[in-house]
Amino acid sequence: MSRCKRELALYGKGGIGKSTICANLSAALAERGERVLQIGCDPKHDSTRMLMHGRALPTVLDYLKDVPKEAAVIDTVLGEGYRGIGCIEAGGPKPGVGCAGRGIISAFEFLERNKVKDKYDDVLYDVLGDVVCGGFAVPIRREYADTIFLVTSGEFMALYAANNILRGVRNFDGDRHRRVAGILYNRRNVAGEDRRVERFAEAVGLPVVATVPRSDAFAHAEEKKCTVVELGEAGPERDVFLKLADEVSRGLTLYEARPLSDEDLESVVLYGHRVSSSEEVVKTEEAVTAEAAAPVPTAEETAERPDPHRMPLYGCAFNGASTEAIHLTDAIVIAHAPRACAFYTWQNISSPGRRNLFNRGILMPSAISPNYECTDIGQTEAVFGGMDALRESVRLALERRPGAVIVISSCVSGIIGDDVLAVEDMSTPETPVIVIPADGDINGDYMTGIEMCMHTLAERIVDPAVPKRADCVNLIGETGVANNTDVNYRTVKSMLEGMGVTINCRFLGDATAEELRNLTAAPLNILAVDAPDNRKLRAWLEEKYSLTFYDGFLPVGNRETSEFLRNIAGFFGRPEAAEDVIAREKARYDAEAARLRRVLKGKKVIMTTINANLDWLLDAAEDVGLEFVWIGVLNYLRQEIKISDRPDRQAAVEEIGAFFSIRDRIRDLHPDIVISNYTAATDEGDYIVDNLPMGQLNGFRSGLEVMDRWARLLQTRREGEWMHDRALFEKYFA
Amino acid sequence: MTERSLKSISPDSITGMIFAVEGMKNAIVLLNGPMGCRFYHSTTSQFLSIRPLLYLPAGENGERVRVDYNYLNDWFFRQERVPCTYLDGYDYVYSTKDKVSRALEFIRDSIDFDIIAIVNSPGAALIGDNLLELAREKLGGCRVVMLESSGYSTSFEAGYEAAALELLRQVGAPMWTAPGPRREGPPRVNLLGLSIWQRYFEGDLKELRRLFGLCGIEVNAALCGDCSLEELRAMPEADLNVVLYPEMGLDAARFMNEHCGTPYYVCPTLPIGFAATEAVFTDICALLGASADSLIEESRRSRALAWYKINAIHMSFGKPKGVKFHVAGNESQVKSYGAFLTDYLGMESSGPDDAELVFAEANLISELMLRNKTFCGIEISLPGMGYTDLLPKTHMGIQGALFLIEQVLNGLMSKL
Repeated sequence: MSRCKRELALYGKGGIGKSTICANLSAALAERGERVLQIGCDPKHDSTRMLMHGRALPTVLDYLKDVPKEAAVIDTVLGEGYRGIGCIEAGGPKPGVGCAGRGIISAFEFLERNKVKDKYDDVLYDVLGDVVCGGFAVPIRREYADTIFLVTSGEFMALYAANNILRGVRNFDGDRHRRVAGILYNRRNVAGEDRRVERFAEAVGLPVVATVPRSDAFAHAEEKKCTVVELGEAGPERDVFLKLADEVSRGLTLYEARPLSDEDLESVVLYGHRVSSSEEVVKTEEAVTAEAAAPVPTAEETAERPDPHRMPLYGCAFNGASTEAIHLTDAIVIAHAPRACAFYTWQNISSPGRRNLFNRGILMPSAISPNYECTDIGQTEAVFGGMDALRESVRLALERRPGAVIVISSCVSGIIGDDVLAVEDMSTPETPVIVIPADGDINGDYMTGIEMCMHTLAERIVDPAVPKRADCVNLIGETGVANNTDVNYRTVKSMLEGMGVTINCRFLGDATAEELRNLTAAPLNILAVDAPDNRKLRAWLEEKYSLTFYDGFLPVGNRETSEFLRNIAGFFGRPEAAEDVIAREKARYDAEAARLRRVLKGKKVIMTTINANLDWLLDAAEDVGLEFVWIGVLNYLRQEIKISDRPDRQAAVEEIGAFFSIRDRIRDLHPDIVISNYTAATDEGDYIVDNLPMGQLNGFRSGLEVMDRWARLLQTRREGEWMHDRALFEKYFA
Repeated sequence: MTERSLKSISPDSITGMIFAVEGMKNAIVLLNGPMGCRFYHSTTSQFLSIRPLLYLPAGENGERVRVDYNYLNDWFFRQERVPCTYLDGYDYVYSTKDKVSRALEFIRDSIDFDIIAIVNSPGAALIGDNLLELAREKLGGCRVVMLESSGYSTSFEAGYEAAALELLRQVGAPMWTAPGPRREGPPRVNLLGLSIWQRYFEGDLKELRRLFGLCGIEVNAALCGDCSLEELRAMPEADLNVVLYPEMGLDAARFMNEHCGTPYYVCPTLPIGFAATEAVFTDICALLGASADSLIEESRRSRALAWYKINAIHMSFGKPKGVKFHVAGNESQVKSYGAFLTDYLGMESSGPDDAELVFAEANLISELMLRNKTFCGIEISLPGMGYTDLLPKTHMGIQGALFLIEQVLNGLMSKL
């Protein structure tokens, strides 16, 4: 906590003369024996120049750019000016890059850490008021400035900025606090300015605390590289600051911030109308993120703003694009992000990899060691822009001669405005540099990121002119992050190879850039899973590359798999090849179904599920003698409910909402087996409870795998004793 | 393409911050950020240690009613840990305050909690909304920790340390009154630097409590390690702060020293292995006027047991002497495991590719497996491979030394 007596913030539009006023006030306070610290909060970092007799100080942000936080010392950036005035310049990034507001925040964190204010009586913040984003608003937070001055001339845009600063203050203070001392009016000698300032002051209920005359004395002092106060020449220019310093020392009356609406501001300042009642003063809390100097948004622009109560975005496009892009196995994927973002993605990718390795002994290269790197956007890049770091990462990646370099941007790079697309110019004849400007979730959710990735990679890599190859297919739209993806791929690959059909390209599941380049060579494409995004992808590929698609998906269950193999074999003109595979599998299937039938025959099942493809399960149930008496489908993937045209099956199915309770069905239907992802057991009835895995296994045995588990559950006791110990948990651990 | 160097991506400071506060009992971490920043923390937190249940705010009769997480849709998305404001592009332009405000109102009205922390995601930290004021307005007298900047690509440890410090500064210090006469009873210590995100957190804490007990010393509080609000309030009652991981606990120790005058002891290494454990506890006992004799006696008995088992392997295979090992972890871990493996077992430090035993997190271990290396991976930090522990295990203290030796001896069998 600061030990200084006063903290004064002087806000004003750029170029209004606030640095001159601030420096002179600092000098005047110092003349009165106060120990003063002036902190310039403007990227152009010339606030303290006259106090330092023309010497430019290294800015805090320039210093922190090169020196680690732990090693940074305050003395490097703290100058001693006229009468021992402490001088600091926060600084900022070059125009057009980085985030100046973030820069101010970083600089303040550094100053706080070093307790720089403790040895001063007065701290003056000289703050650019044109942009009142959160960063530039830091000095007017209540833990900083206790007194706020508005520096303005009589020009409309200066008053507009002053009014916006009042909005910022009100946003922090509401009507509970009073921190505004008034207006420091810097005359420009333009027509009508006195009246405009007076009208504004009256309308917002603030005094004009000091009027600084337009005078050559300031230019004269500047030539001498000092302030008017230090120059010491008698005159009104110097007196105004000495008087102001006295008032500050004695203690100023402080006022509530009562900004005007834009319409009232215009009416009052330009046309001289009076605001006749306090009702016309802006009273509601307003965000301080608008740019004060920017034109007022038109109604049309306002109407285009998205609804502030928007639906949540599940995941971010950055993550979706990243998890998809790593499947281009010979590419290097660069996350232009803080390490946190890349870590979440790495975990998302590697979690099934570790599980499969640990539990099943399966090595999944792209899930265990993804070709994924990160630019590690740090504080320096957040303030000064991250393009140098990104270019360096791309350069290093290109040296390794990958199939492609893929850059994916995070929300941080989006917010600070990095021009990420510019690195596409670094492409070489051998290696394309491909940018997916996801900008975190700014450009959409997880699924949007997947779509962005697939479209972008296809457009940049696929060669539509490659000749067709015989007897091969593409697998399109496999689930990127799932435990069963690799198992399913092996199953399908084995079945297809059994018929002499190979896989040309997995788009996008572990393919090389070369395989993706040859995407259109396959005569047939198979969509892996029925999902809205896959359906969109299919439509896009059909339109863009005229690809031919199998009219179905990777098969689940006995019947679907037989049909799938016959169709594929038929497409390639060798129907007999499918029959060999089917006959071999049928013998295994029948034997296992007979075994399960001994346990499951006559048992009743009810189920809630998000899977709309049901026939594979009902077929297997029939084969083992199970009866599905009711199925509630929570169809959030908006899939076609796949069920045979049989009245008994259709009668059992009902579409349900997210908060449907299965308890009534349990009570009425007396099931032996309850399948649900969200239902705890009730005491009404004697049944086993299980859930249906979200990712289904492809192939003949999908249904039997599930029912084998149910049979085992039925053969054991209904529940373990552990289930009764919840009360104990609550007793000992709650 | 040239093979990329071995380098899994580790968590950074925001994860350190979130898990520091998640380590406080009955605390809520509101992540002011996109949903993408939340999933990992929400999911992982539920599996770290035993997470407390959520209750509705107490009614007039004081009855405690559990929150049904099926109905925790708003902000929690049906997961009990780490609610979030699901920021999107709009919020970055027009401020996050509206969502934070609504989330705070929901949490205030729906959950009984002792402490709430608001953690800005890296994106939210860029725009600098003043949320502390908002939180105070919405939550009245509730204990709020505002973590404005979660850091950018700085270490997990840096994030943890910053959050622990802010917990003391924003929640602890305002509760601490002027010190009264010392409470009667055995000497007491606070433990600094423990985190629920450590691989064997529960076992570490249990073993440390046990060993302090052997020395007649009470553990007063383990900051951010299942620490309750009451324990946080009582932290100044400790006679000594013990800093286990300096990179995570030193700032907190210095703050308490400055604020309450509590002296602190920085462990030269983690108490990993017999010698380090004996040294750390002997030092602390000397500072507090306690006796480590019982601990030393138990340590010697355990050394005897270990000797028998190690000797059997040594006689048959000449190991562990000279076996190459690699430790990947934070500074304290590398130093502490390295000293034990080198000094006690006579092993030799090496790079990951040459090592027969690799002590690391599971991503690095599985990456090495992918390279067909013949080695044994021993997890010392998270993420883990997927093994679910019920019995708390530890590498710290005497029990920890035995467990570590057990893993090493079994691991040596991977390459005979």
